[in-house]
Amino acid sequence: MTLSCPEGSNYAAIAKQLHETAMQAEERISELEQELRSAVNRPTIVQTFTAPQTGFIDNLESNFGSSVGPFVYPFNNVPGDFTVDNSDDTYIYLGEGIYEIGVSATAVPAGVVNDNSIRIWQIKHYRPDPGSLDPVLPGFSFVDRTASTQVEANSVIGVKVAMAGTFRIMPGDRILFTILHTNTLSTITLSDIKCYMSKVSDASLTEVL
Amino acid sequence: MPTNTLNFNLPYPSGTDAPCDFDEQWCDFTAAIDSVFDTFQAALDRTVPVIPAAKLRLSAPADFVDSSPVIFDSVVFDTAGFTDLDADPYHIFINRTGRYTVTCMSVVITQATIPPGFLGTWVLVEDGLGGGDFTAMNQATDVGGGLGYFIPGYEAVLTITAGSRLSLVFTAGSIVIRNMLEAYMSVHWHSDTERPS
Repeated sequence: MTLSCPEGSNYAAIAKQLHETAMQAEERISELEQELRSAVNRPTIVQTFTAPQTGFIDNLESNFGSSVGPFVYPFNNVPGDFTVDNSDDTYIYLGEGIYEIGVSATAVPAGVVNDNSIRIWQIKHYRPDPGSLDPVLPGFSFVDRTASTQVEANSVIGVKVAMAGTFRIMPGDRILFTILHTNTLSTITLSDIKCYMSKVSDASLTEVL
Repeated sequence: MPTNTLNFNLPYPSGTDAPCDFDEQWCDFTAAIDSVFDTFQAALDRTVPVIPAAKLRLSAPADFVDSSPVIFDSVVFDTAGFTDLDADPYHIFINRTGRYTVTCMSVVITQATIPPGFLGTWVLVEDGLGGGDFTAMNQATDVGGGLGYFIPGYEAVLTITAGSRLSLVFTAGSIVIRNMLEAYMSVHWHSDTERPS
């Protein structure tokens, strides 16, 4: 939109034209301001889980996070109670795009520790697929993941993970956090669980340099 | 004679200008305002709703030479023309200087003939001028066993200049042919390199 200006012969309409210029300028400024606010306030959800999550048995990939225990939002600028993980609605509301998703946690054996046993943490991205028999999420197909393998050194403090990845997510897709461990002598307890999601970009448009 | 504002050079009439010149001066003013708005819009268009970002993924196992670039078989997203998988399935090419977040992951089975062993991965950034940098580094201890080793890397803030290219590298300590089960390399811009005013 460009701002209009008066023609030479129409002096009588000066006041009206000035009013029109002012209104057009205000409209353009308002549009720019809204875009600027969008640029510096990307949709972001941060969750902190308020209680340990327990009972994870060995050699079974198991969900943790929002599907298991309570949480609070240290920060959330997305209207509503959407969660980073275990939700179809989150990414329906926010729309297709490129998202950065991260999780951190501590895993400690509840009882006896197997030296050099494995912990595999995953941020898994699934897409609706009604015919799928995926063992972790039936009705969905696996698309992508960020994962981390750690070795339990039997140091009493367990193992800690902090990882993040970028995902191209479509409306209806679902994110899950999972853990798989080989500590056969006892279950695992997860604590200090935090996660975040931030929409960094639309994915379907060509970027303007 | 019209004068101009200090910061954006917007023209406005002075007290000695003839009233009959007002319409022309007003048009000059609105044209100048439009130009300023266009400059702001161009700056915003660089950041919202799309930023430069690209992710390459290896979805099916493939052989590679230890410490050499890993091959990819799919583009997860590319908003800026950073990739050309047909021409080069190993690299992401950067065409806008800025600060970027870089992530990666390598997935292998145990590589240790006699555990424990070392598994390391990183992204190599070559600036096209002979320089290079290692980023998004991570390692895992290979204690053997039948489960896959997932090694993710993350670099939150890295300055990358236009003309650079990125590749994913993995090593288990000796230059042999290995098999990568799965991998990805991702980069997204988050700011320019100017100092805030």
